[in-house]
Amino acid sequence: MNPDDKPQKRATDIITAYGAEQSAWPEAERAAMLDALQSSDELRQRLSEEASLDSLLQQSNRVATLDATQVAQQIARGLPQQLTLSQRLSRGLEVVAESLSSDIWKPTLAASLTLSAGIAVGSTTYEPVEDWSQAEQYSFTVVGEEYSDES
Amino acid sequence: MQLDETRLVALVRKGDQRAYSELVERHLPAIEVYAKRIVNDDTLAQDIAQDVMVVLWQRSSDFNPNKARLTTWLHRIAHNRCIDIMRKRQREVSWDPLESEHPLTEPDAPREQLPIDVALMRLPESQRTALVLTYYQNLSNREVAEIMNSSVRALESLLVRARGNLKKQLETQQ
Repeated sequence: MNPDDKPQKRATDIITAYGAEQSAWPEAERAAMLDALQSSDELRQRLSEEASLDSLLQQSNRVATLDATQVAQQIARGLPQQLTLSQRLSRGLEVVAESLSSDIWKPTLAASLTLSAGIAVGSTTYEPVEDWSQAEQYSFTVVGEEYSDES
Repeated sequence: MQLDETRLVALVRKGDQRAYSELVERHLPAIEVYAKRIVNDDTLAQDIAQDVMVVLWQRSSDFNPNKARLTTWLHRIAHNRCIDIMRKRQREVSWDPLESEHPLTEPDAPREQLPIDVALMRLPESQRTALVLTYYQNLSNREVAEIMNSSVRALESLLVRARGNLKKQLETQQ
């Protein structure tokens, strides 16, 4: 084969395989294809023949009818994901991290506020007890019994 | 702003249903239409398309964005499903995709097959797949070769034969 025929041969092969639409041709070979077409009546004739088949192929009008949103919801809500061990561990850690950063702070804050309030009240109203025997008497007095200094 | 697909897949791996929904909306129509052209059976094609989306949800960790585009990965799964189903049916009965047991028509809107669709269905499975993936699915020749587990040269050979056979089929129909 004459070396000059190689680009022509390749151009013919491409048109015969991919059709007449430039967008269907391999991207790396498009420029060479256009050059080859400019210099060959035979190639242009082949291009025209394949363009007829392309126009018939375009008549095929299959359409999608599934509702993508519905399909996505059904699958995601109805089926568990199959996770690898590392994904499971990673997801478990994320859940712990999320719960620490979101929900746990509420009871923690409530407990802290209660404690702080208790300390504040205790420190401002604290009165030192000099005679502990008196305090014990108050503490151990049976309800209903009168406190007597003489006992 | 559209999120990058690699990012969306990463979110799907974490169980993000919104990211998954976004990917299904982007890819389901193309996969469904592809399956319809290959198996020529609307109900079966919808089942296949949904199966592919189940794989996307359950096994997204199998997708490697460094190796392929998401659409290529999904088409490959769909291609394998189509082949499995067609071969299984061929084993069970001598199944003609043009006379599938599933209705080819919508209940109240009978669909007549166009000559080009009939001609496509008369092509051998591998030639039809090569032509449909290359011509209708907006994939590069390398991607189609990868989906079909073939080389680009072998794909081109299939395409030449497919287009040649298609012309003959259409001439016969006239």
